[in-house]
Amino acid sequence: MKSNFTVTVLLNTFKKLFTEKWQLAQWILIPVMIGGLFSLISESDGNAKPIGTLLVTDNDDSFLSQLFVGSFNQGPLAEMFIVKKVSGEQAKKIMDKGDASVWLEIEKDFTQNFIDEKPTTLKLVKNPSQNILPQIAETMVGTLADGGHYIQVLFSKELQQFNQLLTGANISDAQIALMSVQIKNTVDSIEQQLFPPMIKATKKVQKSKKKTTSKTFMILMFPGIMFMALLFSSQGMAQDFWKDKTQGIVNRLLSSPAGLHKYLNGKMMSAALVFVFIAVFVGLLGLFLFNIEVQKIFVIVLWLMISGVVLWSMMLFLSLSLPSEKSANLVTQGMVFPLMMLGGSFFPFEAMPKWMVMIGEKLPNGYLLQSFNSWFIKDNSLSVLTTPAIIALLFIVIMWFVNNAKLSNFARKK
Amino acid sequence: MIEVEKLSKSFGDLNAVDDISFVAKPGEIFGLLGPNGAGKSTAINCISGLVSSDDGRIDINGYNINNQAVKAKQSLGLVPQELALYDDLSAHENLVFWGSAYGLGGKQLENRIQEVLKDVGLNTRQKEPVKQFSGGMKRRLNFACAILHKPAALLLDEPTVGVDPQSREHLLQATLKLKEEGTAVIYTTHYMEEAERLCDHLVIMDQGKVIASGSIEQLRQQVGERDLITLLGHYSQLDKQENIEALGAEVLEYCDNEIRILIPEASKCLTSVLEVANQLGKVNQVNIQQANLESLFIKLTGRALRDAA
Repeated sequence: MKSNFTVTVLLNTFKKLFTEKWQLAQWILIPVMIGGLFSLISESDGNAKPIGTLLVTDNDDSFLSQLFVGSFNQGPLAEMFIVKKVSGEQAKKIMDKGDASVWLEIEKDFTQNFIDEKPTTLKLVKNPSQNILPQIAETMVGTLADGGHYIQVLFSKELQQFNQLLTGANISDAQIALMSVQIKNTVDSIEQQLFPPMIKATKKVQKSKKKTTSKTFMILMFPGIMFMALLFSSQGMAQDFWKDKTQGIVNRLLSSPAGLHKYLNGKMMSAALVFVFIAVFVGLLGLFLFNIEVQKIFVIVLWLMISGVVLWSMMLFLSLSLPSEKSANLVTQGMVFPLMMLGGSFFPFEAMPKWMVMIGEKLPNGYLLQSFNSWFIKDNSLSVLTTPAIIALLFIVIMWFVNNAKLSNFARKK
Repeated sequence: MIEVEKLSKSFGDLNAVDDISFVAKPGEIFGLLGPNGAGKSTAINCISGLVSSDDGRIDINGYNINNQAVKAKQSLGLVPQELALYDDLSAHENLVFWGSAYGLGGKQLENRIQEVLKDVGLNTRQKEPVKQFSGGMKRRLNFACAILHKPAALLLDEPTVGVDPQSREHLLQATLKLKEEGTAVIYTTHYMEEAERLCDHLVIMDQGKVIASGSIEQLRQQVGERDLITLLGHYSQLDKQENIEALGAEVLEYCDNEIRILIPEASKCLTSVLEVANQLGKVNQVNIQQANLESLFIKLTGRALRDAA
């Protein structure tokens, strides 16, 4: 009976890996630990909010427009947005650079139109590279607009009088007193609706059958943590070639009929299985912590396996190109941290400066992570992963040929 | 059968192997003898495909190592000078790995594993991790990995370097068994006594070249029925070599601290030799050896085999 050498290499690599259980644990636990600590540091209750910039161009500069903008400086919104007042030109330039989350432009005569019950426009421009903060801003503007509408309906008369007061018209004390009484009467008449009687309610939280993804800071970190685990493990497994070389295995294989390509295939398959193992472990952690949909786990596992093999191919190329085990270890280990930092594993892309994002997105891990995020975080359809998957698979095929050619020289090298 | 014709291999300016040819026949142990750096390992590496040769032809069991590499390698077993074993895995797991590399599997592989483990005396230790083995046991396992697939030709590159006497005996016995089974064996060593015990045919190499070739008997005849006398001391009259030659001796080496000569029946003429030597300087130590391959190597190169490197 003939045996498949590729499968033997795969099994051997696994056996060796499980004799070094701590290494395997290290590949998974360090990223999880780093991610957890970062989340704790960013906010102790685990619900950290992202911080963005809200640009405001107030062409009206009236009491009401200032009141409107001021609502972004109240309560939890104040922790999320830094409000900057800028001209239209400046705002356009900043938004073009992508340096702000959202731009709100209030038209001239905003207050007058509001009081006169005429249509008025609030222009909201969102940064397409961000997701959460622009959505929050949009929701807030919508809520304020609704509130404004109800004020118009209920207090139109009073608003007219109030306008005369603001525009400097001569209003007597008696008229002001009358206005106050009218407002009180209106409030009294809708009191039942505004302040309904207290109802004693028992709170019972029923879990939704449809699990949704809560977009906390931790979940923003989650894909990065998975890619961090991939970087650690791909570096470790690429370095395994040097361990085999120093034990005389790779050189000795040159004289066997099996050939180095079968050895490479076995190593690649074992790496892919390790990535699946990591993905399943981290995926289950995500299922437990963030209620990720079970169907999503399959995509996560597949994507991490492909991404892992891409990173492994890259690390292997570097490792085989270097002249000694020590230099290969130093260089590949030295690369892991910059790749993590720039590629969105240490900090989510949304929390990174633009120049860093530009570099990070072009790195293999950054590109694959961004593609993953556009599906996982931004809830886009699965088709957004098609092109990156094709690119990743092409990369793997090309790197297989390159690494196979390098392996022969590597094996012969003293 | 292993046929090597006009094999050459250089590393930069160094001609590691320079136009060597030989044939190792089935059921024959063919010795490659020479000091460290003579080119033996390079020749072995070229034959096994670990290193590509610059020139020449190598056929293993009728298959060319370059054009029919897979078939040639399938017929070949290699015991490299450096170990090729996974330290973390057991002896059995290492044998499964190497057996699989040669296309063996299932029951056939398991049967062969048990056979070779018995041959090298490791059958009771097969489940232990290799890292717990002594150097000699590792060498024996290294040997076992190479013969799992019953190769028609076997290359042994200094297999007994640094091993204990027990392991050495296991290895030599296993090699002789392979010879009996009809395997063509190429055995490199710089141990004369090993070569004399095992080899049917010898090639002596130095500085990449074949300097002598033939059976043990043929090579001994080149030295003749003479003994080797080594006179260590301090000699000043280096122009008086003819005084020694006048005794019927062949001078192999003559320098200020050593004189080596080949002479018939050394015990009978030792007094005369010492007398002449004392005229040339001061003799501190005298060694007499029977003519052997070492003597031949000294005769051919002017250097001792073990310190030639």
